[in-house]
Amino acid sequence: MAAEAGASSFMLNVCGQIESVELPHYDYIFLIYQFVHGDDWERVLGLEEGVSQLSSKSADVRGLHAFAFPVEVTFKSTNPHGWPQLVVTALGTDIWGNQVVRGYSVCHLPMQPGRVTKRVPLFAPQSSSLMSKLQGLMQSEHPLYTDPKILGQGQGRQVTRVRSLGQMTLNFSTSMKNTRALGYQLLPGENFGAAAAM
Amino acid sequence: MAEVHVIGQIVGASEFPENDLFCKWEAHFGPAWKRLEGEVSGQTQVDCPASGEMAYFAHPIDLHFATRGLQGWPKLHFEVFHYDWAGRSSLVGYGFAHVPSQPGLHKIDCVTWRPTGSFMDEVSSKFVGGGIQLKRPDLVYELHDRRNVHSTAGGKVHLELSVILRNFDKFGVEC
Repeated sequence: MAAEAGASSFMLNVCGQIESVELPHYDYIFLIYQFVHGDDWERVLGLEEGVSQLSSKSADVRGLHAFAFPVEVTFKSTNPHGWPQLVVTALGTDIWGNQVVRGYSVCHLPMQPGRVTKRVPLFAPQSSSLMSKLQGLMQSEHPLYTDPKILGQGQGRQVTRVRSLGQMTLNFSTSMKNTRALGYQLLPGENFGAAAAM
Repeated sequence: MAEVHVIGQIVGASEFPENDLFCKWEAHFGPAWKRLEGEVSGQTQVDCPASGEMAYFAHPIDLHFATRGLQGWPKLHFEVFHYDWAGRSSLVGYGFAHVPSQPGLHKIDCVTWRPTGSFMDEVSSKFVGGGIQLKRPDLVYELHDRRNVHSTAGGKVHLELSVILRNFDKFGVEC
């Protein structure tokens, strides 16, 4: 398909899945994903928030939570700045039956067309002091981010203490439209522009 | 004007003597470059890993530059600190990495070093904690004479950066 002449925006289409999570400490996990992106970006297709099934850890030596949870989204933008990030919250229940955050992960959607498999770490915020940790254990209140979207930004992260405790495997297949027409070079070896126009 | 987007993450740090780490980072670039969008410095979360030897930061970097020339290509400079049980921080590594000039996805392992003190400095650092730091941190990333500095290797900072170029071909620049 020819790129549209005079296009002012480009589109990013990502289809993939959250394949599995390794969190061997926990038996029951479900996931919620959200997108964080800059002001120049607009989600045109796909869910704002996705909620997965509840998974039990596999009984074998892998201790794996397999989700195969689809992530399909299309964005439109005028500017690569603010490229969308996928923030995933892994939740479980504690012994009293309350919903508890087990971990968070954040990664950018791919910036090159093609298929990739990614392994992304999961981490959980920690109490800032021993007192608040003991209090939290007794009252079943575990530290969590009031808005997980803070993980998509750099500001305000310096005061957080976390414990990384697992990995998430995802795969994405990515395609773009009009990035070349707007002059963006996403991959090495692409040679277009003045010479190619002749 | 040619534009460069640098988007990605400081993934984490590994191979340091201690695992409870955080990282301060800063971007530096020459006078021909202008930062259009994005923060040029920051400090990551502190990670105390449950197992394994990698501390994960998952800290986003999203910078947008416009440039009139290739000189002063942007570089990122890192200072890795150990956060101990009492909440004190001590420096465990300095490092820097140039932003790659080729578009696409790059996985970068940035080596770090820390200044070595005298024998007494090293002994006291082992018992009391803390470590020595450089008076002028720009020694890490600028083209200065380093002959009076004695250093010891630290671990590695892992980055995953994607570079997007715009209009470089219009100016006849091949990357």
